Amino acid sequence: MRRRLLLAAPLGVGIVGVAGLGAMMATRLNAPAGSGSVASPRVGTAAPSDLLGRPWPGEERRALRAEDLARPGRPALLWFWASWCPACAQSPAGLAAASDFGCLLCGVLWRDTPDRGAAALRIWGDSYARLTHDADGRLGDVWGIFGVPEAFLIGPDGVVRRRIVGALTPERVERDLRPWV
Amino acid sequence: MAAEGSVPEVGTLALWSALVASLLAAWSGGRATPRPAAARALAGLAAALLTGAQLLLAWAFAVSDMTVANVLDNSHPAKPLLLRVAGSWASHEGSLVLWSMMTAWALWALARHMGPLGEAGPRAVSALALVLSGFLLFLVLTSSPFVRVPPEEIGPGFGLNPILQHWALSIHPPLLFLGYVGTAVSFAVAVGALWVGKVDRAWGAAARPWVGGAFVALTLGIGLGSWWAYEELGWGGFWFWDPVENASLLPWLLTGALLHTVAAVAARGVLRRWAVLLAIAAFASAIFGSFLVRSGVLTSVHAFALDPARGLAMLALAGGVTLAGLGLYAWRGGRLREGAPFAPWSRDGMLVANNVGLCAVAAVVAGGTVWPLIVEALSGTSLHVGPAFYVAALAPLALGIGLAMGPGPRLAWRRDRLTRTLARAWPLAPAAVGAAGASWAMGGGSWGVLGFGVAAWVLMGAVLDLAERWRTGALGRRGVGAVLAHAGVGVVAVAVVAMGLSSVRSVVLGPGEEVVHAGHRWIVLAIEDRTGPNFLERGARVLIVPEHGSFGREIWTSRRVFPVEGQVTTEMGSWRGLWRDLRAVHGGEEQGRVLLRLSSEPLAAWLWMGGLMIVIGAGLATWPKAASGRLCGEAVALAPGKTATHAGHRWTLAAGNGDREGWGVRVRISPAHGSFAVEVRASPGRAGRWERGWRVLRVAPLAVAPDGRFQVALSVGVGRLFQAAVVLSLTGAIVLAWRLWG
Repeated sequence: MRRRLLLAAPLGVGIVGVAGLGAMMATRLNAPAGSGSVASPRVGTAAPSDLLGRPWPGEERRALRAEDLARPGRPALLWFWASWCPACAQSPAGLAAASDFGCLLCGVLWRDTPDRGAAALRIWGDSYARLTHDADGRLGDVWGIFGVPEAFLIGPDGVVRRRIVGALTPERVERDLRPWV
Repeated sequence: MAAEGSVPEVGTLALWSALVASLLAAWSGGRATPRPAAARALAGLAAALLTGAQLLLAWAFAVSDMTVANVLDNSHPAKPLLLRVAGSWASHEGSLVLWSMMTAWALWALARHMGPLGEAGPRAVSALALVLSGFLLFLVLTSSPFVRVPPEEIGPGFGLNPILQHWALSIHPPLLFLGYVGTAVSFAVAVGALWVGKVDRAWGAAARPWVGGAFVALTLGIGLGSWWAYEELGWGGFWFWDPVENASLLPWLLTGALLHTVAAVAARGVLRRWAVLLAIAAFASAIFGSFLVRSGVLTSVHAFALDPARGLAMLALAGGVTLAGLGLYAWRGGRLREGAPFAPWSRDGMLVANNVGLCAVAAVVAGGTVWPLIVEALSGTSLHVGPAFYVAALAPLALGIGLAMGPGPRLAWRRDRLTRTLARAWPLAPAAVGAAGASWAMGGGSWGVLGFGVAAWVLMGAVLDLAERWRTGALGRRGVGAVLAHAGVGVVAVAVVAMGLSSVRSVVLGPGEEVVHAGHRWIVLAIEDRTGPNFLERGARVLIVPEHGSFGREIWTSRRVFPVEGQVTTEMGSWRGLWRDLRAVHGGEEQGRVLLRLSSEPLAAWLWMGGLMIVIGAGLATWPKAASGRLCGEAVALAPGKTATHAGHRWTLAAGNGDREGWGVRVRISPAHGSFAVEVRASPGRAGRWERGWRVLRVAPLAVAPDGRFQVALSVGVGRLFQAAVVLSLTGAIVLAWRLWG
């Protein structure tokens, strides 16, 4: 009997481990992006507006300006993206939704080129109020992003309210952005 | 062209056909009376089909067929051809195709060489075919790389991230995959043995090459990744305890333990159940590691494209395979008979120490990787387990493993006396104390002192082991391999401890200015612009001269701008050497002066040399013995006193005795035109050898003929002197290449 138990012990450990991983994955899947804001030292402080990236060629009218971040008067969404990022391609509907409820949509093209970004916008759709280009990722460093897509919600007073990571869907805009405006 | 237009459809068909072939192979090997020939043919078919699928996918990437979703998401026509092709296995779907193809190759190889496994052979083939079928099912149902894009979404391609465009990163995943496939084969071999309920010494010998292959591939894959991190990222350091790295370390540790256990099974028939369990654990760690990395459970912040269905399917696959193996163990493990008991002071005992140590290291690494996930799931706070934890937890374990490694291989099997153990251990002590004292005198910390001491202990152990095997004539290929691999571990240990003593300093220098760091003068000669084939760069020429010397080296470190890709990379400059690497990293420019991060990494080269020694040593120690019939040149039947001529020598049977149960021969060999002769003894399982300079002359007994003649096989092979020359010149070439290149 004791020997049987000893032989079955690894199986028991395996079952517990697999079940634990399954449970862990279930909690993740139920709230992958829904956990909302990701911790960031920027949240709760004034948005840094001294570094703005470069305007897109031919899009100077939509260049990002310091007042867009410092004291926009309406909520602003600083959206870091790139044409090579699959999750960014899933986000245009969410971006349009954010723009619809009055967000100043500021797109930061991160580690990419404007011509490639423009090609992506033609396919994905373009609801940006501001466009800027962060070729070497320096602006991303200032904001402390890990990758793309990442977004920062800035209140009308210029204070960073939320940092969200991952694709932006209309549902997510309702859940994670709108209550904070 | 119509044919080119249907590449993805043909690929899908190939995947489905491979799935059918693999299931049929599993059935052929697993039915009540197995059909090995059918299993072999079907395995070959699956391998051919999956090779075809991989080639088709590579073709779609090469010609940038943007109608294929996987190409559209992961490639771009502007990428160089080789990187485009390498991109075919960079994505989740593509890597599954590559994995399946390698598994099918391994399946075919196993089916061709299942003879030594005996009854368990077809069962092992069946088990591996089942694993392959599971992965193929996952591939075709949830992750097919041959899905077409709706016409309106076809675009220029989204996969042009230059950070990952590096040749080492293109071949690092395939090598690692090869190692994972190797763990799958070890798993299948273990499951096959459980299936027939028999693990014996022959099984150990038959399993060893597969385990060794897995270990070698894993070592190469991990080493290459670590080398890339050291050379390209330029942060200093070669291991960052990142979850992805840890996930690849686990199967390496467990396969390393298994390698030693299988050797013990082959030599003495001990630790049989443990070997089987370890093989299952090693494969489980490999698939759960890739599950954690690929599913996005681990990389919590960047779980962007987490597809729930796919994640659940992966968990089901990994869990199903693991639990099936463990369930089989619970059910059939009782049938496995253990070998003779052994005392703790014996080679068996030291192997147990090795296993306990390596498994404890694996447990710590797994715990450190998974613990933050558990904490986050339970309390919602995120937690970081950093290098400090791993160093504090692993250093004592590593010291313990090192202590056992020193005298371990020279102990007797089964039981040895404590006094004799101590007698074997004491010659190591002066080396260890000397090294520890030297590092203490040079101001190393307590870990440095202990680490160097134990590394010297291990190295001295390898040297004494070599000497003893040489003296007793037990220095076969396996012996050389084992000694080389153990010495490699010692060399790696020296490098790891030494690299902890690296010195780093950040300076701002203008042209013509200099600074003294790490015993060298670092002089900025000029700050200038250069133009490359597809980039512009601005950087500094730095001359490094030893403080007390005149022979220096000029290096170049820069920031590169790739205008097309819109990317900036930092290029490190380094002066590589046998004793230290001197490195400078460009950190930006301020008012005509350049910010430089200078570092000295002592003995960095030893890390890669030690890794190579482990790879070569493990390969030598586990490469299968060629079947005696193939090894030998000519089979002859000789009566006592008769002579045969073969390969310019005369072979005379001096004496032969015994019957079919136990017999042996003495054969006198003399050169055809020489006046001297040498006598060698040979018995079944032990060929007679005459090392004659560049060549070795071998006599392998085959059978006793009914008429009383002795059937022996005569052959000539590559002698030890030649082998030594090859090893020496290879080592020389590596060192030379290193110096020239550095």
